Amino acid sequence: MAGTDTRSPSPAELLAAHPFAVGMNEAQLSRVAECLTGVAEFATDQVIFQSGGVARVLYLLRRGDVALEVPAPGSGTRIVGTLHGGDALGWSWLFPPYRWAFDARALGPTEALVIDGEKLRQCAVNDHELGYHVVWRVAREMADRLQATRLQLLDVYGERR
Amino acid sequence: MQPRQKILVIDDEEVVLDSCLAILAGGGYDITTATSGEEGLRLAAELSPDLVFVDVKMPGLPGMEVLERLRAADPTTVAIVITGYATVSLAVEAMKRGAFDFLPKPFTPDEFREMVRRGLERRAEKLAQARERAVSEAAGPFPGAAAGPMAPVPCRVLGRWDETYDTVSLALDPPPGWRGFRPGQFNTLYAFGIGESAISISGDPADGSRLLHTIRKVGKVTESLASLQRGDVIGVRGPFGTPWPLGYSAGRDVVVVAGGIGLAPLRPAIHELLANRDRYNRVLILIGARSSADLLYPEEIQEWRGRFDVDLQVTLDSATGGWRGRVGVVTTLIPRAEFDADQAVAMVVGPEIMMRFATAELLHRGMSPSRVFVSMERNMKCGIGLCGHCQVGAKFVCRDGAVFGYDEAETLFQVREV
Repeated sequence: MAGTDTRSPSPAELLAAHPFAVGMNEAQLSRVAECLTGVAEFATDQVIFQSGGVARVLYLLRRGDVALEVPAPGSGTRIVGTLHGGDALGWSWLFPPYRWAFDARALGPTEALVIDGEKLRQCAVNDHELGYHVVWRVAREMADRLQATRLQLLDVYGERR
Repeated sequence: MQPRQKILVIDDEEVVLDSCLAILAGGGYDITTATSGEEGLRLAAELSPDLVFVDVKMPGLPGMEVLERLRAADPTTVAIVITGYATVSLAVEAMKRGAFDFLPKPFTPDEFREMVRRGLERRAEKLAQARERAVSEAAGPFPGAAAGPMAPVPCRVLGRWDETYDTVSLALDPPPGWRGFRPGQFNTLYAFGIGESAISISGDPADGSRLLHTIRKVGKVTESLASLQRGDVIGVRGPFGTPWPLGYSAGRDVVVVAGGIGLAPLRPAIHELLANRDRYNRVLILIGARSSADLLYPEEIQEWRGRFDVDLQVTLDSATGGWRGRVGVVTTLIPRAEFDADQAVAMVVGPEIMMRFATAELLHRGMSPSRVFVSMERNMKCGIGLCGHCQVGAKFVCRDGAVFGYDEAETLFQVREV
């Protein structure tokens, strides 16, 4: 009788299921998978990182919602954007001085793949083709968010009177 | 059995006509050809074709004029311009004159078949819209308006309440003989001694007991309307304008995208979608607002969100720490929304910038522009295409819209000021 396959997915399999990895070949996937340090779970309202903290990792969100926010003395906290399952959280690990610019807080139960940022940077330096793929993905994420931010700045729902 | 769809090809080059016939042979269409504009117009009058291809460069009557006459004779005719002299300016000119699309010669069989498929799809949408419009025209105007379409009928205010800091809703006692409205239509509300303003009807079309309008205070007239109290009397004309394509949307996924005050003209459509939920496939309601204080109808949104058969998402431009939902503009909801772009219908309302970007995201998902409907409420005044305030090119927004397929609205969006 055939048994049920209950083995845990490999790091490469976990990574391959995330939109961040779409288009990477097997060798690239396995090199990025070597930088995967685990799967993190965050409870509702748990702080994932705080602004000013050292940005050591890239989070690839598998499920859940995360608020990027900034403390606004006198008026609590302002949420500048939200990220969701399938998004990549954080690019501060890629650029000096490797410090988070905002706070990140889980809005509900959230699960993320955790990639060691320093290791991934090293891989990118050693293998420029892999580096191109990684930086291209981060750039796309940044471009999408820049576009969304521009629309927010445009105040597309009309002038406040 | 469905009648065979009729296609007319007008081109002075016999070889082109033969190719078109060969490409579509066996496709189940009735295909007729004409070698001149004059012959084409005669055949169009005789056959009422669903789709017409018109060559621009022909001896005798030029293609552009044929195009205009075709559209004047039957606005539901879908015409596609074909020419060997493909230039952007020509394409723009053709679209301005009502062409659905532009096919440069030489074209491949696949390109031609794809154009036929899209053209016939557009024809089905236009016929469905015309049917819905006929239903609404049969219902109104109400007999009280016998003094003429420009004479407002007095209506009593049943109630007035604040929706947000700059928006109020007015409930009016429907005038005698009021026969209802179709979602997407608008009335003009007249504040006596001040002026009138075109305002979408924002209530439940099934509720004949009151006539709801949500008004944003943006000028003297709307400020005056917003300050009315229970028992006051205003003038009403309507209902005017094309309805949302709810009949055409039956059996399809429906994506409703509302930005800011745009939720008001969409609310009647949402009511009708939910009241007849089994007629539609997936129903998605994507709502964007500047902040939670700007969000219209929060209680109803909560109620809709509670339904298992609706995917409702709300996103705010800016929020404080207590907000549990999404933050970002409404366009960011579209890439992740689960719908079948090949057959879905979208209904989009908000300020024009928002509609442009939302439509761009929907097209990026693979939707056909002809299945993305927007409501353009530019400068509407008389409601009947008389005063010319809302004229854009050959169209009067109030009479030919305000609901347009994006294939038509795109050229209107390009006109910066009316």
